[in-house]
Amino acid sequence: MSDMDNPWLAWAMTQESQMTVSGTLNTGNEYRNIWVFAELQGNFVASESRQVFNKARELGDLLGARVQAVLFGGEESHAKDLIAYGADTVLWAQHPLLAAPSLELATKALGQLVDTYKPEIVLFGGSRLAEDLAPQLAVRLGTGYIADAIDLELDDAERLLRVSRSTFGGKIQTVAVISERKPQVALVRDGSFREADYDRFRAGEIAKVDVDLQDTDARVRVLETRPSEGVNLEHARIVVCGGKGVGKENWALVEQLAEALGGEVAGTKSAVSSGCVDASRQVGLAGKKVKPDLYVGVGLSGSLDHQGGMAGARTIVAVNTDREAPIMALADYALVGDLKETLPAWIKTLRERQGKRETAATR
Amino acid sequence: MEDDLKIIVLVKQVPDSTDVRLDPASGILKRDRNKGIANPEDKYAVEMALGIREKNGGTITVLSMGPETAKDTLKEALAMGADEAMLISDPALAGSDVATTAKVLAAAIEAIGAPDLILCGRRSIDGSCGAVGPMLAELLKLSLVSDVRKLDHNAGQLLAEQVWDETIRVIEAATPAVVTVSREAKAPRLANAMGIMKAAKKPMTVRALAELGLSPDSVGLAGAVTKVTRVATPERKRRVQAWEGANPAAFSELNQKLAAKGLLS
Repeated sequence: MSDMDNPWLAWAMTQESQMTVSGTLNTGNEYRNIWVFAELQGNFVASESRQVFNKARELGDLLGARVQAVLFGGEESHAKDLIAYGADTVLWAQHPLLAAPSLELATKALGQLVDTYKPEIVLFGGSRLAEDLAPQLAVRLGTGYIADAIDLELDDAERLLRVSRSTFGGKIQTVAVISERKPQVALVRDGSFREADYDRFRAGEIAKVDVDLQDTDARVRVLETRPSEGVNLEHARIVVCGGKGVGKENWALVEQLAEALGGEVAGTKSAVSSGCVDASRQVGLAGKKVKPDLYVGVGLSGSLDHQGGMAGARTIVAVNTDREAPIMALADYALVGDLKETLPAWIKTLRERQGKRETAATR
Repeated sequence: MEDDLKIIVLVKQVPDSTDVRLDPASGILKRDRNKGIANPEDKYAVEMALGIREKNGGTITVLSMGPETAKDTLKEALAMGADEAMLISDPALAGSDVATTAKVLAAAIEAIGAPDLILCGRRSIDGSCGAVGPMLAELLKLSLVSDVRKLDHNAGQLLAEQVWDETIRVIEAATPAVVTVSREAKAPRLANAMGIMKAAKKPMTVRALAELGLSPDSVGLAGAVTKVTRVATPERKRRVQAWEGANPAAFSELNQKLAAKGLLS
């Protein structure tokens, strides 16, 4: 009778192998645990990072793996915050060079930590830094990389992460896996998951970890950071976007609608090239990606390029003459007709509403 | 004047996205397979390269990986003013994932030889993930400056304006470096008749994999580490509620729906 035929011995061996992976840090040779790269923005854990924790927990529970956050710089309070958001362990690297996020240093530090502590899955939120960092890390580690995940599932028999992506402006959805390489590296598209709740009673451990970095590793230097002249469309709650069908002569209607709704004005590629709106307000794959609560698309068909920039909007209203335009497939509500007629009438009702509320408030 | 400044610009041929619709019967994307366009942001990269060459001198090589039809895209870049073109084309490349694409491009860049500057658009519009630039920088052990809207070169030093969320970062980096170009950069010029005529006489080389020292099983579907296991056209999650014409009842109904979702202040 071999060892594995004895159920008790087999059970004991499983327990033992789990012991090695369920210690605070994985020091075994097998790739274990789920990492979340935790980024700080100002004094807070970035929203993009917080969006990853619930899903990481779900995957971790299925795999019997720990959820481990990797924190560069910051204070102990940030590490505690990460536990409250769902981390079992925080790998905290306090190297002075990691105080401000630099792509080169972050790639090097993260590469070293992966080599040492071998996570099975490394997840990134869709932040600006991570969009550069995650692909660089994957290449450095010789593993695969899947960007812009809108959902993550697990093939638990194979321990494979199944990553859903949405391409061609939401028209095609693919599921991809990283086979035969570890860790599996994926970046979650901003807005795909809800931010984790803060549970200050959650228990977890903080493990201080060392990385080896030199001044000379930072070849790219940030001389100055200043606010951009453009608007922050990416974080706008309401966006009103005009397209080719609006034209310069009617563009004022788009601006008036935005004002009546309290939203930001944006434009498609053709609205920008016809000079209706500044390039910093272009929405599309090649422009800004917006994810407002309310998106109103006026006189635009919804090209793939455009859909890639707005498909993440929560509620979509289309104003268009063409009932069959691609944008209608995404829209919740549509005003079908000539925008020269529909828009002024809609704007009027919005202003009346506003007027009534203001009158009511002053009474 | 440094007349030996070597710039490589990556240009990708992508499907024209202006009129893509689903075939209602099959649910498959209808696209005219013959119609490819240059990835818009890559043209911004060509324009940025031309600006650098105007000030510094040097040569611009445009590089693409793709089928033979990608020659059209390279010709367009030559007509804009690039000096020479190289296409990496090989049947074995079909199905390459992003990491493999970056590997092939890195090998091609090494074959062209020690550039000072590698430029490409930050993203391509055909469902790619903005990873080629970062991966290429990592493979070639070069610095990366991504999403750049303005770039100056002076004696081996780059000064770049980088779009970084709602801020602009002024970045200094030494060449050689990989720079990905933002849509906020200077708009690309249109090729004129003279440019198109000149382009016909500019050198265009087509290389196969073997010439780059890569084996067929290290690229394409065979070499891809990421594998697509399922492709689906998702069902319409939303069902549009539409109102025809300027009907007053429509607006109040729409306003009520939006107000119920807390979208009207």
